[in-house]
Amino acid sequence: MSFLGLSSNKPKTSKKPLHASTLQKQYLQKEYAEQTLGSGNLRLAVHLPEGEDLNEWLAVNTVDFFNQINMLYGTITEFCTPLDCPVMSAGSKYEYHWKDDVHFKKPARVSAPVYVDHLMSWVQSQLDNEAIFPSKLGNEFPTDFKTVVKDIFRRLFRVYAHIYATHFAAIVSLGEEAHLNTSFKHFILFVKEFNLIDPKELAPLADLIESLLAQAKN
Amino acid sequence: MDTNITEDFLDHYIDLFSYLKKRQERLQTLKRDLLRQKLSLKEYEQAWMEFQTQESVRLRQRRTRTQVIQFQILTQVGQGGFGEVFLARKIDTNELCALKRMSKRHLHLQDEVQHILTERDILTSTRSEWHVRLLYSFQDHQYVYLAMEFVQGGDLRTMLTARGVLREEDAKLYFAEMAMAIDALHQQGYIHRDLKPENFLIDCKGHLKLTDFGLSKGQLAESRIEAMKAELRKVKDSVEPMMPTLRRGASSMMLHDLHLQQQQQQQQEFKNEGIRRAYSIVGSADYMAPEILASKGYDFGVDYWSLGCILFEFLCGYSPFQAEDTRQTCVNVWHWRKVLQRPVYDTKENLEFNLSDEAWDLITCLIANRENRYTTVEQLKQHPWLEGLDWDNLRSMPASFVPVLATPMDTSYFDDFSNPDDMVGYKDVLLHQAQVQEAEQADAAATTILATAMRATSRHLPVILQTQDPWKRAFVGFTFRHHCNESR
Repeated sequence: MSFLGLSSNKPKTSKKPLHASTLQKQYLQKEYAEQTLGSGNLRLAVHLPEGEDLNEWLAVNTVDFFNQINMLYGTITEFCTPLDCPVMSAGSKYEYHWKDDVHFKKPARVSAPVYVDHLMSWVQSQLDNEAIFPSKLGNEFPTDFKTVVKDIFRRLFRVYAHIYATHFAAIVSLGEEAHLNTSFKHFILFVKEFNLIDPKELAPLADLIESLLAQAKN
Repeated sequence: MDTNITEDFLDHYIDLFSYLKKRQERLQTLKRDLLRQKLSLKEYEQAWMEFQTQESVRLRQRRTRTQVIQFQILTQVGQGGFGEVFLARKIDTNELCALKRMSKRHLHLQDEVQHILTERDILTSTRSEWHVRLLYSFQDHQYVYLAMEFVQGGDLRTMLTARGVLREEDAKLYFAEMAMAIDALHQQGYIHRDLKPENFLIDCKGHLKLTDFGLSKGQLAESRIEAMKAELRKVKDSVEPMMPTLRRGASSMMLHDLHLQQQQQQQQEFKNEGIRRAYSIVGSADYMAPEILASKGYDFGVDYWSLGCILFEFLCGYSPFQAEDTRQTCVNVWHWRKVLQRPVYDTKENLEFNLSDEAWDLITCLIANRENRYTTVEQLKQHPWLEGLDWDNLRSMPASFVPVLATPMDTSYFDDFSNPDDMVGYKDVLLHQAQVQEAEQADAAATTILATAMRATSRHLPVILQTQDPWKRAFVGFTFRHHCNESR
């Protein structure tokens, strides 16, 4: 299930003026990064527990990250409107188009709230699918489970990227930057541990990731 | 819109880290145990496999989190000052439960947060067959939920109201069961302090289970007890104690009629007879030990006092210090030596209601000053009134009343919340609830204004401390799920 739309290095067209340009990289500042909670423990928290089934571990973490992103994005929905965000983007250089092989056979340029809505419903439908995320005891994971998980993580990352690039000021005004940073750091540590996202996909937040990982080593 | 996510966020991480820690501990325990035993390679591998399977099952259970939408609400079975109780079915597991839903803001405004946290702590740690079992506790933005085992036979108060008085031989089993339930709570290190017949539920075989542990630790409803103490200080010298009396006319007839009825008839009658009682929001002092009202220290003994009062009511049909209002009851308890009296019946048809000497003696071993009062089950076991009782097998003895239940979902021993007649007794509770709801709305509005102001001025506060409703953090770590494998 291929997904188009990551048009990197595309020259900036006449998008909405970056009134938030000064805030754009505020999340890199030490004072914000330092507010991240539980940094020492997070690195340990992503390890596959001794003897645990990899799929079971990937599954429970997928659900946890999905819930966190849902919760975080839910707090800024009033700022992420079709008017404010007519296109799903991660900063000026990255734009995402929605394609799901059902309603959108071709990648469609939709507003960020529409994109996120499709994305979250798409993830939810996988999580609710007993054949993919078995909930009953004894039911097994499909053989391509890791591929499914990778797809989900790749897309979930885009919601983080959009929040950081466009709505960080709102997150700060809500007093939630520590939550966002912790959640994202945890997400990235997990992604790195199990090699779930192609590094190219992570480019929009490469600086932040580098900084968070350097921090987590301490 | 309530956009605060701090408590959910902290809840998640505390839950995650405590899961990982406990998992690590289980692993270490297993490794130690495996080393100690001299196992063959095959046995070793099998033990290891079993352990891993169990862990994977736990992990899968964690993935499917409890939410209220996973419950199908069947009907309402209770109404308290701060929430409702529903009979509900958990859709995926088909478990029936009593789902208690309480508004967080309401609990906060009523100073009842500690109450509910204590209740949850006791429920999650108890393994006693004498206590109602907690299946799940969870929360969302607005509410906390306790999903408890559904105990079908209604509460002891409803049964007492229906039966008037108990025969001594019937009362013995109920009394012993209450004592066992209290002893189990004491073994956990909790004192109940506010025992009343309402706190005991009757299961489908007619045996008792203690529910509602809210007051057990003491921080809570402190305000309520304080109010009673203050009232008592004002009036204890000016108001005369009053002996409670059975209103002779009506009640002795009631006693007589009830006694004549066959058990079977009694059961059916009391089901739909429409027993009315007033649900008070203040609670009663009827069963409360004087040292609680006197601000002296207190210990496990206070619960034995309450047991004595309930036993008195079993056998006499009224509680020993009952009065028209709480104030008079407090005065009566204060002057308990004067007020406590053994009822004596001399008319021929009522002779059988006279207490045996052994029963009266036990009552006075419980309703007694602290130095002489019984404080352990062992003492009860030695008492002549309970001689010959098989304490180890109480729950398998036949009970004098067994609920007549059509299905496991039969709620006929609870009030019908769709019937206006049944709702009359809830007038005070509902009125109170409406008042608190109004206060809740005012509080929410004030919080929003405050939060907006705070956001404008206090960007530099530590982020975790910046939250719209700081008290919501009290519920962090509330979530619980029973593990079929672990519990007996």
